[in-house]
Amino acid sequence: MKNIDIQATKGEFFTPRVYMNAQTGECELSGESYIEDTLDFYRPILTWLSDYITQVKLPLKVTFNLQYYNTSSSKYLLDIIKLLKRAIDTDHDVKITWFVPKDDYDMLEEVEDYIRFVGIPIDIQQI
Amino acid sequence: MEASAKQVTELNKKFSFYHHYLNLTHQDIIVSYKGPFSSTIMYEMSREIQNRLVTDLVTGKKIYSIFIELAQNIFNYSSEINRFGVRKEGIGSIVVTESSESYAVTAGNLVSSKSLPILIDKCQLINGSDRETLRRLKFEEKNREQGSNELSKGAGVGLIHIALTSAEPLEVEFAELDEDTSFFAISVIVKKRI
Repeated sequence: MKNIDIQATKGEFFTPRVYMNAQTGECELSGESYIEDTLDFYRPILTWLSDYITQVKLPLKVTFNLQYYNTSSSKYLLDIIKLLKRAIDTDHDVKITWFVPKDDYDMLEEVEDYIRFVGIPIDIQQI
Repeated sequence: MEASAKQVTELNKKFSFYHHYLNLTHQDIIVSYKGPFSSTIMYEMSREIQNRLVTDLVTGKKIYSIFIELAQNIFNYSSEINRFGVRKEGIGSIVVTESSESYAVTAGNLVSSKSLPILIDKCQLINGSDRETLRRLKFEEKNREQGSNELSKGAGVGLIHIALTSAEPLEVEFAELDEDTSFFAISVIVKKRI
């Protein structure tokens, strides 16, 4: 499997840094997510994760470090979380860390809701 | 040179910018725009919002977030198109104002008359729900399959997110213009941090 390694972009729209390593299982999504064609951006990420879960039996170590994302992006973040839940259910060792900006209680609530409604452990770090 | 009565009448038929200007003078306006919601316009408005709220970054982020969601709803769902008939960007209006205790983000645009009751129902449901219910509703909407029903796309998660971010009831204004077209405006309040 190939890796994904995209730098963040800033402008009228913001795409996050995405790093996904098929050899080490390390994944990172950081920066801001407000994208003109959100599906187009997240589709390869979801495909990569889905392929990793079916083809590779190694652990996954996923880090979210996002300062801002719009609701369109948050639907795809939920899709990522649901795939990680599937990974756990198929006996993968999965560790998820989510860095939430200090004072952003809206994002904190949202991540807490992923934990309880999806039923998945996420280590929340307020920074 | 004296203007003839006819010339004065001709002048008065045009859009009264003076009255428009006076209307906008009553509150402290941070940004105000009516027109197509292009990405460029949204970028400039959001920069201005962030500059003006630099002394209260937490509130500033809320206003920014609410602005983006409302602007995107106009972009995606306004039934008003530009005059050349090619739908490029939805046309609407957003005004961000400041008072001593709070900020208000108000967005208005034309919608189809048949979608108006659905929008009003959603706002009433949101206003009648406590925070815990809203959090659950937001998750359920997000969890749903990407629907083919246009209205379910944005008016769901976006509106609930706006309500949670503001933590105040949504204020709604609407008017049916004719069988096909109605006007819908929503006003979102964010209290200042003491």
